[in-house]
Amino acid sequence: MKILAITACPTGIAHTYMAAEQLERTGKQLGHTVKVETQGAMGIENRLTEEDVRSADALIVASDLPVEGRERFRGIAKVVEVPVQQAIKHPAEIFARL
Amino acid sequence: MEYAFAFPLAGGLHAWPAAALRERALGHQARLAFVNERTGREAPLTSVLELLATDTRQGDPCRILVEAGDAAAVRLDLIAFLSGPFLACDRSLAPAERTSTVVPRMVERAGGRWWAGTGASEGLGVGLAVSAAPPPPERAASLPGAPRPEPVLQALEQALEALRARLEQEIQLAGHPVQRSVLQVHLALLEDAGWRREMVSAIAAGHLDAAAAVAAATRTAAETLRRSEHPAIRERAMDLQDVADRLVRQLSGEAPGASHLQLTGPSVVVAGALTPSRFLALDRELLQGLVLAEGGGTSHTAILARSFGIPCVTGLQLEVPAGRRLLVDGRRGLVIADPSPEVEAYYQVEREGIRLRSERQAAAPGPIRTRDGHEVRVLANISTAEEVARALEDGAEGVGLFRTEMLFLHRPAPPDEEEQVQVYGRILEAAAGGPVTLRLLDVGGDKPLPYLPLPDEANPFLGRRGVRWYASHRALVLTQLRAALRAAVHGDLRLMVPMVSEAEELLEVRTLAQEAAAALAAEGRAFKAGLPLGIMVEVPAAALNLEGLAREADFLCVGTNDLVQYLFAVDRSDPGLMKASHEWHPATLRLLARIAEGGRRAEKPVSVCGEMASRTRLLPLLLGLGFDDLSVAPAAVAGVRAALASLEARACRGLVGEALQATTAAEVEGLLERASAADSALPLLDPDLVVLDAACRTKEEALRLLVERLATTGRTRDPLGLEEAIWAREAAYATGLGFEFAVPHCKSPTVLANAIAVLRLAEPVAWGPEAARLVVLLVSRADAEAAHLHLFARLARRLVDPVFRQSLLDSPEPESLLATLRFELST
Repeated sequence: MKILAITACPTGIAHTYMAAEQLERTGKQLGHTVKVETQGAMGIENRLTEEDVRSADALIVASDLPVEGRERFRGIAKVVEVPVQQAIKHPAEIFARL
Repeated sequence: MEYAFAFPLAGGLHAWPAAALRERALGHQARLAFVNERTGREAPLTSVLELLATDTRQGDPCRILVEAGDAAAVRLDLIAFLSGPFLACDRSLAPAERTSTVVPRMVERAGGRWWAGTGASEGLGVGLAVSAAPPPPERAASLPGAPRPEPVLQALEQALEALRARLEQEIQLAGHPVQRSVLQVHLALLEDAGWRREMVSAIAAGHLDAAAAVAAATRTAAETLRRSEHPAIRERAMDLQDVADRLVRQLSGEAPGASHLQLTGPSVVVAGALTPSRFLALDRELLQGLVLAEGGGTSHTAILARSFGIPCVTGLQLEVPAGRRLLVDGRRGLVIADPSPEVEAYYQVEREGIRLRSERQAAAPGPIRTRDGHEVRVLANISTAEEVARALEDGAEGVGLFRTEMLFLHRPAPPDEEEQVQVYGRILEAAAGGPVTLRLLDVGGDKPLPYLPLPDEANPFLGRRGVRWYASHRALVLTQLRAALRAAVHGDLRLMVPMVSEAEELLEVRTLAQEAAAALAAEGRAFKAGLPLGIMVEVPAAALNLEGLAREADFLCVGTNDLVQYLFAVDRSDPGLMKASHEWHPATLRLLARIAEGGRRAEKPVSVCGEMASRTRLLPLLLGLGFDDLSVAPAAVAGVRAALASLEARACRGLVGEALQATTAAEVEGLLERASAADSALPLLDPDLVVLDAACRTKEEALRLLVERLATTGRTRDPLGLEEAIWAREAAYATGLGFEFAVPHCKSPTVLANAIAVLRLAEPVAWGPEAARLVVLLVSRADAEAAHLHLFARLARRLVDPVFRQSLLDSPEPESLLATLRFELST
């Protein structure tokens, strides 16, 4: 599957990136293509484009606060939303729900 | 004869200065009275109680009347005293600053009983509660069959004499200067003529025995003190009560110095009130803390507690059974009952951090060097000798600006030559061989003097200020010059002329100085001729024609406050017009660059004494412009020195090169911010920020330990605030990751330099629902730059890798752990 993800946390200097890394690693192990946009203290990085959205099968939102530009993903049917901690601690469970 | 002056001490006329004044007065035969024009009260200089009752504040117009005796000599002696030793009477009175009112999480979580009062003496102590009994009740009743007055008076006389001898002995033996000062106040109170008169008349009236007479006289006098506007004077009522108690005990034949409390082990004394002498009678080896209901930070008991390093909390009426274990946290004003081992361990970490920091601060006097070895001299702007002492303690190398106005303001007539010689001499002595730049009288215009008649001006800031009136009032200037030349034999004195815009003005002063020297030589007086004569550069015209002025001046000193006001044509006292940003506006910087360049070309030293030099944020600009002599407010000396040590002169020159190309203050501000963010004075990683295999019992203790390390290595000056910021983040959810790792972090203005601190614990501690054995703390400044945030992000990503985590857990020593981190962050 081609899976998109967004991570965000309150301070935006640690959990956002740990979650992103964990989703990328786990997805790769499970044979998925994963692209993660981080919304942290440095702003949005690795931004998900319209092109990404068009070809995506699913979206994971791992965040403790409302993410920016949520409307970009209206076209994706399969969405899983979790607290950022879950992406760090139990990433495989999230993929299992897709 | 009389001597008029503005009362100089910030704390007003409280007990120490009153006792000192009395002591000085006792050395003279003359009758001396103190008059406060504001309160309209008068007191003989020999009565401390009456002096206190004048309710004198700083700046009050005061007079000392001298009658009989050798009035002229006495007056001079008092002037010397008032402008010298008297100014030091205020020093140790300031209560310790309260650093935090926040109750540590550790204490809240421990769940035991604790009380919050007011911290009156910093420090940490643990001991068993001991209750001090209240002082004996006053005996006011007359005895049945009233005694004849004579034997009673005799008994009182004997008791007074015995207690006086006892106090004198205690003063001799006092182990601490503060203890001596307090005892001297007690001696002065004991000898107070008014108080004694009251006792004697009560006895002579025939109705009271000696003890009752003491109580009656004390009530009246204490009442007067309690009515004072000053808390510091109101609190002296307790000292009077203390002396009265001792007198009564003396009358009853009690052994002198017998302690009311025998401590048998480490103790925390709990009392409603504790008089200074009762405090001093306690065994300080065993006394670990004080908890008092009464008395603020300026009570003598609190002051003594600070001097002896005994933690003290006031404002708490504790009723705890004797023998209960108490922890006294004088820094936060907390008392904790039966502290758990966890709470004690937490405090132990804090105590160790404070000890380390004070050790580091104690070292490092002398000139300051930037990181790339550029030497900068930090001097102080002062008005009194007391300020010189303080600035020197903080590392100032001398006085860059001695404002003489203080001596001339608020009085009907100018100080005479003798008075000025005394004051200038004191300053030079206090500077202990360091240079002192005396600015000639800078009044007129906005600072009018009753004895300096000048025409009414529509625009005083553009009027007859500084040097501009010297020609029309030569006598005033000549007297000041004569006094300066005479005082100059005591040290390294330089003279500076304010408000100069043309070379002629400076030459006129030079001529006056020569005239003064010739007269002094003719009179056969001791003086020093040929003092360096410099100018304040504060008028833009002077800055733009520095070539013409620098030829005649021996040195230049930039007064940025007025320079900016005249450059922008804004009244500096109008907050609506005067903006802070004028100081770093490109127009100001270009003018400053020109001044620095002009001084270099004329080979004359240039310093900066304006407030701009006290602002640590602007130091990169001044340093980059080439100013190596900075004169700052005494309170700013330590901060400016620390900031200079963290700068790199080369980088500052680069910054100024860019700033001089800017066209708005906002652009310069942007450059300053970028420079301060890029300032890698303190690296992200530091061996002192890696602690391996520490035995912490709790998450609280672990975080406290890391915060203390951050404070000790200069990453924060506000460890309590930083600790709060980290806990605020933990409140969202605990930062434990599972697999024995935790990544606490915060972004906070309390952080001075971004840092990564690592703590590996001997045994895991609970971290929210998880356990943590390896704690990686990331702290970021509020304005952290992207480069460091990227490194934090990279480290966070790496922590997800089990192999990387294991390498951190297995690192045999801090250096190998640091090497692992460095490698990961650099690739």
